[in-house]
Amino acid sequence: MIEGITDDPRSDFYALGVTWFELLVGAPPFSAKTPMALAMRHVNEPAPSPSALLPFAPVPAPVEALLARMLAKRPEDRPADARAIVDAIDALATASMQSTPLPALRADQATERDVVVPTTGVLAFPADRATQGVGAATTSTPLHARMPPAPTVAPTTNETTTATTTPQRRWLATLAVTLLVGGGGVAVGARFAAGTSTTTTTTATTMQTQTQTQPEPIAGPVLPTAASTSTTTPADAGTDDDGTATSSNGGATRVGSADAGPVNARPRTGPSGDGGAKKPVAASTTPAAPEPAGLTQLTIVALPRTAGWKVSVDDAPPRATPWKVEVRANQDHKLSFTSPTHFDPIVRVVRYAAGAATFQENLTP
Amino acid sequence: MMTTSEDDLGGRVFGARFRVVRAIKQGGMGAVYVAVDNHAGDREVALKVVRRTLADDPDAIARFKRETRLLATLQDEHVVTAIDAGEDGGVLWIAMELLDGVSLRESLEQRGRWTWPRTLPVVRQLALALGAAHGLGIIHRDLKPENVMLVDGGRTTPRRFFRPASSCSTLAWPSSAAATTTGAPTRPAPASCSVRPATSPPRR
Repeated sequence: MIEGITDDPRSDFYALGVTWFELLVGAPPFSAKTPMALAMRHVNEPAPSPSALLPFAPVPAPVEALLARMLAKRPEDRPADARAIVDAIDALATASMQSTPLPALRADQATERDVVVPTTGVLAFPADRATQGVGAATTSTPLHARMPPAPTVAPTTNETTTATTTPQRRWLATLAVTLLVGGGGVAVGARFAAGTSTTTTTTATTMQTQTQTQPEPIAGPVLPTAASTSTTTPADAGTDDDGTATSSNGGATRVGSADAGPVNARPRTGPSGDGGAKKPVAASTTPAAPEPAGLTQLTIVALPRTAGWKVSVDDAPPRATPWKVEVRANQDHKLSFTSPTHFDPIVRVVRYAAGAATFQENLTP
Repeated sequence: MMTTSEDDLGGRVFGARFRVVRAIKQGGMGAVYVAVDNHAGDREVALKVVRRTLADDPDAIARFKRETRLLATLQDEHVVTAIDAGEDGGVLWIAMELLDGVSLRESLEQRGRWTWPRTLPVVRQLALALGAAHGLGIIHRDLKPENVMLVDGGRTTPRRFFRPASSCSTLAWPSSAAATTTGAPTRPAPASCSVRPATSPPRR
């Protein structure tokens, strides 16, 4: 690497940073055809961000920050000594153990059409969106979902319906199915019941949001615990979710909803839609919807990666009756959530490694 | 690369105790072999020798000797341990602990990138190793995946610890002050010759 430049011990930290980068990314930060060209790149170009290279395998911001310091061009900008590196890493570990609140990431970047879902961190939505709440006026947090009444339609109960046309739809249908199976699905279903499939569609069109995978490295390491909470396994374990699960979980509930028929596959998909399951319904009754705030459809596009990703979307802030939906990415690595009502989703992305959640990121609109 | 002559060290004994068994790695400055130490029940060690063509180069010899001295003074669990060093028949050699493991490079090639949580202990250990070296005025100068060995940790934790080893290039230490550790030999690991200068994983 760039050795030979100095006798400064900090040159070793740069080399350590390069090594670390390669471990994280699987490739060195720079490559070039000749040693000279490579050296020039090391000298002149800032190293790329691992999370930018691996959107769905994001590295927490604190980790990236330490790595960036080690890769600083000027020795003075690097850690002063090895102890500083060790201490920084210990701090990271501690933070991760304590589930320290993650540093907030950009909240202003999301727009209706472009919802940034940092793989790590908090996803923020424009304030205005949050503001308007219909029935549930949750002004307080932008997160809240609004429940504009969704025109109810007869719920087409089937996914089939939903599934129709577009591939995307199809995908949704699939999703729905999945959800049903899983515990989380229940809640969703309920919600959807209210919303009509029709609605869904429309909405989708209108408000479709595309999440970019951009990673904003936000947070620190996540705790497993947290993860569990957030995640419910859709397919596999319907049951176990912790907190959330409880409410949503009730298998019975779920089932019920399913039975209810109102639950359409689609709607389901849009797990998001629901404000608390219950409430929304009522609200929805009335078609007149105030200005909707929030989203009706959220699409998360993930980069193709190893299978171990799970994404869940919740309405934020949590409602009295929490509902939660989780889905596994399909082969296209695309996840869509549609809701008859507007909502402010909290997207959680959990990555599993070797069967266990290694970390989780919460994206809060 | 090694000259053929250097490949012929099989069976040769250095320091009246280290008998060369097989070659592990050959590099620009020398080669690393697995040798048995007849002073220690024929345990296997890594024996690094300076390439013959450099044997007449005073600077190369000086660097090698410096490296040897430094390595001897650098006692760190994350750094390869030097056992002995000397010169036999014009061949400079240094015997080091033979590490059993794979290099970070091999790990990357075989299993791809690591999840970030897994990298933390490795980076931490490497920092500890570098800190130990820097404390002695030694700068590694050639830290890279090839020079870091992942060594199996204690039985308690099947986890791999690793020790960064410096590369064989060690032989080429900068004449300036610090020398880095050199690659120590490790087990047949293709890793480089590594000296284990670095850190090993924390044990718990």
